[in-house]
Amino acid sequence: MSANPENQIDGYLKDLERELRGFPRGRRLELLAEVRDHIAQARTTLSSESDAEVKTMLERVGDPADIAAEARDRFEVRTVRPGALEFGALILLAIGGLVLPIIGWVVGVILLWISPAWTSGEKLLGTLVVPGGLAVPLFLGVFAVSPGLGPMERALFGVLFVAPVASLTYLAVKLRSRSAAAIHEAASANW
Amino acid sequence: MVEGRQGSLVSQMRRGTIAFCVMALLREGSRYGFDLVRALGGVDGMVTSEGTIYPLLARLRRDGLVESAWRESPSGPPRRYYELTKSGETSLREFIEEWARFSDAVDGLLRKGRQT
Repeated sequence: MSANPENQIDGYLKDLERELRGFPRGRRLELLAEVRDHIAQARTTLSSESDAEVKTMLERVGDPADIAAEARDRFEVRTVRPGALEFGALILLAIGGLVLPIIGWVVGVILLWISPAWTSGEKLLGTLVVPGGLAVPLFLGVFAVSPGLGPMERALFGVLFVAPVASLTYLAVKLRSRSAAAIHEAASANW
Repeated sequence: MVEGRQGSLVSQMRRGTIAFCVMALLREGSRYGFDLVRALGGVDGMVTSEGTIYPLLARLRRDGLVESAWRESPSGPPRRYYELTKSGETSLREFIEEWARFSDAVDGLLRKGRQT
């Protein structure tokens, strides 16, 4: 059975696209377009489009993991292997204040700032949205909320609940995209 | 692993110099990516994976050392041509001086080692 050269090339470009996950969209699309053009030009130099020739040509272009590793290197894309520090930070920021009022959350902030996994901007977001984490709306819910809650209080209560969930989800997503890049890097370490 | 210590040494030297090799090739005039890769590929050990040139070119462009423009090619569709910028030229000139000094020094030391 002979694979169509188009399929071989499409498969290669799909692999490359997957390896480039975690890069900003513009950068990823540009690199893909350049490699696609390169392959199109390399194809014109082939004497035949047999499986073997197309395969050799793609091998010359290089392992998609190598190209992605080079791109991460050139653009200093952060790669991290999330560990206890990162998970501890996210958990304590969310509910540390419930376990140990104030202190639990403060420890979370310290872990957040120690970890190399996030940028300063992201750390600032995690710290400021919202100090105390979920402990604030929950304590308010238990102690301070009377049955006659006005619409303003309701809205504030909602924001206090949703905002930290949103900001911590954002930090978790960032962590995941960076660790995805790290996993690929480990796979291509024999460069 | 296929690569031993020598292999990784060559790859480190390559890493440190390839940007300037690309810029040196562009000094003669603008080139498109494929053309650059094939020119570098003629030098043994300079290009291991052709595709890795594109992240490098993107980085050089971001640093303002090269710029690119789409241009009609004599054959086939328009291509992205790269050329050296003023600041690329300056940076290359500085590297050439440093490199001459450095390689003279290393050559000298290597010769000395052989005589004793």
